[in-house]
Amino acid sequence: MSGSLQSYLILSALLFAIGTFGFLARRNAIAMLMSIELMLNAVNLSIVAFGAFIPALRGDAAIIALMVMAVAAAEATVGLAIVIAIYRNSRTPLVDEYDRMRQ
Amino acid sequence: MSLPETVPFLGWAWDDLLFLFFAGALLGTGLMVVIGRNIIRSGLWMICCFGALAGLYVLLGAPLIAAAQVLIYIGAISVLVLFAVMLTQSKSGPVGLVFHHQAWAGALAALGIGILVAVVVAGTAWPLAETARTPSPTEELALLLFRDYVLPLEVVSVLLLAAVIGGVFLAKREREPEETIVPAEPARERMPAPAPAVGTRELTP
Amino acid sequence: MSALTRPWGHLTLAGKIILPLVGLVIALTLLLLLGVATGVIPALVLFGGSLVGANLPIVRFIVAASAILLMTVPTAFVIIYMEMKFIAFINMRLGPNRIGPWGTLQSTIHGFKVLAKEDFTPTGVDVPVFTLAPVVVYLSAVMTLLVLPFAPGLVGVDMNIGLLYFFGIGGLNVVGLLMAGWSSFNKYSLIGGLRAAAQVISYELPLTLGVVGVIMLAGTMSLNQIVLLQAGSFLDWFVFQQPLGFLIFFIAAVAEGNRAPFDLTEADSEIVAGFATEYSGMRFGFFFFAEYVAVFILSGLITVLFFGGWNAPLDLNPLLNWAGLSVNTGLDFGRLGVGLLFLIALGPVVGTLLLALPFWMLRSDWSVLKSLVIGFLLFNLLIMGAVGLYLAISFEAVVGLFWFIAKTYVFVFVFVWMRGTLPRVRIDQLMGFAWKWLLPAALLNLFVTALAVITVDAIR
Repeated sequence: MSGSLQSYLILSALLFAIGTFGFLARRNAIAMLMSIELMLNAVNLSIVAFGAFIPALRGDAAIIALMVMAVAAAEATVGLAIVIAIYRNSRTPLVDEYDRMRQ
Repeated sequence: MSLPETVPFLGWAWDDLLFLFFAGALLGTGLMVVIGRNIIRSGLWMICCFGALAGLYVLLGAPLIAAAQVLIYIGAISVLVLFAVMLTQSKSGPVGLVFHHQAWAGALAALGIGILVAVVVAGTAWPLAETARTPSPTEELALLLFRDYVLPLEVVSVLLLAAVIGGVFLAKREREPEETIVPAEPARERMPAPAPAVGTRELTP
Repeated sequence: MSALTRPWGHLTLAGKIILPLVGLVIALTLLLLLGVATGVIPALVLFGGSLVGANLPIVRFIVAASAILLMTVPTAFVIIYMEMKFIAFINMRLGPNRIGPWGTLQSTIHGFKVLAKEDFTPTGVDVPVFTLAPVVVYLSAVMTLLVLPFAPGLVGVDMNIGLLYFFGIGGLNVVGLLMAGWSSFNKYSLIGGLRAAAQVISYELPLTLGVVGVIMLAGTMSLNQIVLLQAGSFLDWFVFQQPLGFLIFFIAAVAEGNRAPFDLTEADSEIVAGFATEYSGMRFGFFFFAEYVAVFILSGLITVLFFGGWNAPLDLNPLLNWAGLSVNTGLDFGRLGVGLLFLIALGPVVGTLLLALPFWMLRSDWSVLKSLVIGFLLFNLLIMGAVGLYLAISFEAVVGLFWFIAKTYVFVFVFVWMRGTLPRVRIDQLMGFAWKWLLPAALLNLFVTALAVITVDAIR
C-alpha cells in the first residue's frame, strides 16, 4: 500500500477534489484561499511521490516541490493582502457580496 | 520475543499502517477545513492537514521536503492565514452564510474531478523503478538546486521579493487626504503650561 | 465512622502524608515477598529482559523520549530560581530565602502551587482550542530537544537536516500563541497573540539567516557534525569566524523566546498578561514552563552553533602527557576480589570516623553525634566527588555534558541579566529593528561569508 505509486496519486486526487469543492462552495474569501492551498499541496504530494518512485525524476521532483512551496508562499501573501484590502472597503469577507460593480 | 515484521492479524507492513494513518488524517482534516463553519477552526485543521502531509513526505523518503513543509506551510503560510482571519473578523455563521447556494454543483464537480483522476491513475502504466522508494540525499539536492536549477531559483526569489513588495503595498492603509490636511485636534487635551512659580516674580528685580 | 475520622483529624499534615505512605510501603513489601516466593516476579523479570533485549531500538527510543521530557521540569525549576535570585541581586533585594537553603526550593513550591490551583475555563472561550494551545507551545519547545547534541553520543537523532528541523518545529509555537490569543475571548489576549505572532515571524528571518553563515562554513546542517567541526581549542569555535552572525542570532533568539527586552507579548503595563491573560492553574504553568525551557534550548543552540557545544575550551591531554602524568582510566574493581567486600563494608564507617575525628577533637562544645553527622556528610561529599571524577575520566560523555551544560548556563545567565537590566522596547521599535537593521545585517553577513569561503577555496 505505502509501496505503490498509485495509492499516493489517488490520495492526492482526493485531496485535490476536496480543495476544489472548498473553492467552489465556500463564501468566505479566506476559506477559498485555504482551499487553494489544499489543492497546491495535493499537487505537491503527487510530485514528491513521482520523485520517490520514478528514478529519472529523483532529484528534480524535490526541486519542483520546493519551487511550488515558494510560489504558494507568494500566492498566499498577495492573496491575503488583496482580501484585506477589499475587506477594508466593503467591510465583509464574503465574496458574493463584492458586487459593487454590478449596480 | 521481538515485534513482528508485519502488523498482527492483518499482514501489512508497518509502513502501510503509518500510511493509512497519515492518509486518513490528511483526508479527514482536509474535509474539516472545507466544511467547518468556524473559519479559525478551519485554519487550525489546515495546520493538522499540513502536518499529516509532512508525515507522508517522510514516508516517501524526502525529509528535506517534510522539513520545508513544516517550516513554510505551517510556520509561515498558515500563520499568515490565521492573521488575515483575525484581521477581517470573520465569525462562524449558519450554513447559509458559509456555503454558496450552488454548493451542490461544486460538490458534483469536485467528485467528478476526483473520480476522473483516480481512474486515469489506475489505468496508466507507470515506468516504475524495481526498487521502490529511493530516498533523495540532501547534498545531491543542494548541488541540483544551486548548479542546474540556479536560474529558476533566482526567478523564484525575484517573485518572492515582488510578492513581499506587492503585499505591503496592497495591505497598507491608504492615508485619507483629510487626515493629513486637517491638523490634529487643537491642544485642548494637552497639559496646561505650568504657571510660573509664585516666588519667582518677587525675586526678580 | 466518627471513631475512625477523629484520630485522623488529630494528625498533623505531615502525619496525614506519612501514615498512608507507611501503609503503602508495607503492602508493597508484602506483595513483593509473595511474588518472589511464588516465582512470579523472577519469571516476569526474565520475560521483560528478553523483551528489552529483542527490541533494543524501541526501548532506547522510549527511554530517551521520557528522559528528555522529564529533564525539562528540573531545568525549568533551576532557571526560574536562577532568574529570581539574580534579578533580586541586580535589584539589590534578597530574593527568595524562605524555603530550602537559600530559597532553592522556591520554584519547586511554585510548581506545586500552580498544580494545586483551580483550572478555570472562562465563559465564551473555544474550549478545545483553549485547552490545546499550552500543549502546542510546550511541545514545540520540547520537541526541538530531539536534535540538540548534549555530549558525544548523547543526541536524540543525528539528522542531516537537524537545523532545519529545529527551526521548523520551533516555529510551531507561533500557532500555539495565536490559538491561545484567539480562543481566550478577550481583547488583551487577542492583541497579545497577534503581537507574539508578528514578533516571532519577523525575528525568525534574521534567526535563520544568521545561522546560514555557520552552515556554509560547516557544510552541513547536522548539529552533531557542526559540534565535531569545532573540536580543538576555543579558537576553533565558530564565534570567532562569525562574530556578526553570533550577534544577530543572539538578538533574534532573545526575541524568539519572548524574553526581555523583547517581551512585548506579555507587557503587563500595556496588555495585562498578553495571550496568557485568561489562563490559570497548570495551563498557565505550561506557558511558563515552555518559556524557560525555550530559554534553555536557545542557549543550548547558541552553544552548539557558535561556542563548540561539548568541546572543552582547551585540550589538556597534550599538557598532561608533556608533564608525564598519564591518567590510568582502566580501573577494574573486580580485581580486588574479597577486598572489595571489606571496602564496601568498612569504608563508610572508617571514613565517617576519620572525618568526624578532627571536629570532635577541635570543638569541645560539640556533641559526639553532631561531629559524626558532619563527618558522614563530608564523607558522602568526598565519595560523590570521587565518583564524579572517575566518571569524568573514564567516560567522554560526562565531560562533554559538563562543558555543554556549563556553557549553556552562561547564556541562560546572560538572558536573565538582560531581563534585569534592559527596559522593554516599543512594538514599532521592535518590528523596525528586525526589518531595518537585523535583516540587512544578516544578509551582509551572508555575502561576506560566502565571499570568504569562495576566496579560501580558490587560494587552496
